[in-house]
Amino acid sequence: MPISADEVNYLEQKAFNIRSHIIKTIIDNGEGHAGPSLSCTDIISVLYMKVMNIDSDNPRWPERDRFLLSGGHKCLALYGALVEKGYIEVNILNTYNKLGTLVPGHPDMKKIRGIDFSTGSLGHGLPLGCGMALGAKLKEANYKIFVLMGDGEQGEGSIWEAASFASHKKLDNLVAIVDRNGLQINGTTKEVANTSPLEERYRAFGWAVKVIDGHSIKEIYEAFESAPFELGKPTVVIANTVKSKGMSFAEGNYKYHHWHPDKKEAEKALMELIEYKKRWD
Amino acid sequence: MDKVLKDPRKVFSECLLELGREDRKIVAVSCDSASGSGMADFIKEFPERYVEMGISEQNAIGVCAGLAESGFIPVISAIAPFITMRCYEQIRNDVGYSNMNVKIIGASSGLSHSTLGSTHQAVEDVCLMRSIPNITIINPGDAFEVEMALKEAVNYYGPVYIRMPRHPMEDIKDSDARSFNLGIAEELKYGEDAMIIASGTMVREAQKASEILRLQNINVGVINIHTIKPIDTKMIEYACRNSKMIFTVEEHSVVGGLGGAVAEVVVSLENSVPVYILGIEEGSCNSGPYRELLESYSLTSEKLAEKIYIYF
Repeated sequence: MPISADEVNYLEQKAFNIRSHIIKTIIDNGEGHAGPSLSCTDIISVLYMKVMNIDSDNPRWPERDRFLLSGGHKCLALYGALVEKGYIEVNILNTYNKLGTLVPGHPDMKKIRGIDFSTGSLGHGLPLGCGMALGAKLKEANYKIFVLMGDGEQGEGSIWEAASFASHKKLDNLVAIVDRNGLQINGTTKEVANTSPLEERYRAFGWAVKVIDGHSIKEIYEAFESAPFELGKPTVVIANTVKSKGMSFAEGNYKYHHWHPDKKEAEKALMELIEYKKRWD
Repeated sequence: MDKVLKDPRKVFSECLLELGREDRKIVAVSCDSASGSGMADFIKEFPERYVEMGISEQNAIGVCAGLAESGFIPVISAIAPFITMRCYEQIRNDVGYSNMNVKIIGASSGLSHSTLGSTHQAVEDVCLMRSIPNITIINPGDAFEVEMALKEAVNYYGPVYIRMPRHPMEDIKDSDARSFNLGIAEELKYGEDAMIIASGTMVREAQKASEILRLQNINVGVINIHTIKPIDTKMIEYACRNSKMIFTVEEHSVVGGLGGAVAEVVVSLENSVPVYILGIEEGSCNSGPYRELLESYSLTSEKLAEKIYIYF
C-alpha cells in the first residue's frame, strides 16, 4: 500500500524528534556517536513508527517483529525511537554516559525490555538475525527480523558467514539494511578498506538487493513494505545515507563519528534544530 | 566397578535422542561435525530440528543465540578448540552476557585429537569459558557423567559448556552408587595425607594414582569435580580442613582451568593448605598416540603417582 503525504510528514517529524534526542543527549552529556546515529535515523523512524509489528506495552511479545542494531554504537537513534514509541521516558536520556544508566553507549537488552538483543561489537547482528529468522521459520511464525548494519562493518567476516547461511536456508523473513554513509572512524570506507561493490557481493551470496535513498521516507517505506523482494531469498536494503545528517557543519565529515561538542558547535546544532522544527509550527 | 570401556559419544548420541523425544524445543546444531559429534541418530529421527551450519563457528554461535531467543534449546556440538576459540566473542557477548539458553558441546576436548597437533587440541577452553559470565562448565569423567551432564544442561536454563571426551572410558563408580548433581562435587575417597581434586578424564587416573600411592603407605583421597563452574566451594573447604595438601589434576593447561578455580577458593580461606596444579604446562605443543601423549604430560596414573610422591 502506498504511503500518504500525511504519513510521510508524520514520519519525518518523528525522525526529526529522534535527531533532536540524539543531538541534545550528546550536548548535555559531553560525547556520543553523532555521525552514525544521525545517518540511520530516518530508517529507524520508519521501522519503529510504521513498519514493524510491535507493542510498546508488551515489549517481549513473542510474535513481534525484531530489530537488531548490529552497529550498537548508533544506539542514540534507537533510544530516540524508543522514546518516541513510548517504550522509555525521555528523561532517561539525561543519564547517558552516567554510572548505572539504562542507556549506555551500546544497547543492552538487560536494561530496557524494548531492546531485542544487546549489541556493540560489530558483525554480530546478522548471525543473530539468522538465528531469529530460522527460529521463526521453525515455529511457523510470521514475524520478520530487521538487522541494521553499517558499511564499514561489512569488513567483518562473520557477516559473510551469515550472508551465506541466510540464502542457503532461504530466510526470506530476514531483512538486512546497510546504512551506507561511506565513512568509518578513520576516513572513507573506500580509503580504509573498500567493501564495494556491496550490491554485487550480496547478489553473489544469493540475496535480493535494492538500493535506496536512506533519507527518503517514501523510498525507505516502500522498500520495507515490499520485502521479501523475492520469495525464498533474504532481503538486503542498501540505504545511501549522509553521516551526521541534520547537523550541516558535520555532514559527510568522518571526524564527527564520535562527537565531543564544544560550545560553539553545540549552539549551532541547537539553532539548526530550532530552524528545522519551524516546518511543523 | 565396571571396568568395561564405554564410548562417550555413543552415550551422548543415545541421550540426545532421548531428550529430543521428550522436548521439541531441542535443536541440534553442527559445524560440519554431526556424525563425529554423536548427532546422527537425532538427525535421522528429527531432521527438521537439525541445523547444519557448515564450517562457520562465529555465525553458528550467533544463530544459536538467535534460536534461543526464539524459545528453542540449541545444542551445538563441534570440535572443542574451534567452538570455544574462533567464536569466543560471540559466546561472550551473545550467549554469556545475554544469558541465552545455549548448550555448547566441546567435542573431542583436551588432548583427544592427540595426533593432530595443537590446532586440534583444546587445553585452554576451560580457562576461556570460565571467564565468561553466566556460563556453567561441566567436565564429565565417565559415560554416566556424559549422560547426566547433557540431561542436566538441557533441564537447566542458561548457557552451558560441556567438555566432551572422545576416547572410551571406565566408570569411576559402581553403577548402583551413582548420583550427579550440577555444581556439587563428590568425594570418591578420603585421604588424610592429601586430596587429589580431579575433573573429567583425570578422575579415573587420579583414582588409580591413589591406589599406587597407598602401596607406599601414602593416603591420598580423590574428589571429583565435574562442574567446574560454578565450583563447589564447600567441598574445597572440606578438603582444606581435612587434609594436608591438595593436588589438582586436569587434561588442560595449568593456567586458568580446574587448578586455577580451586586455587581461587583456597587463597580466600583462613586455614588454607598448599595447592599443586598438575596439568599441561603453558606453551606445550606435542602430538602422538593419546595414552603416550598423556604420559608425556605426566597425566597417567603412574606418572601422577610419581609426581605426587615427590612431595612426601
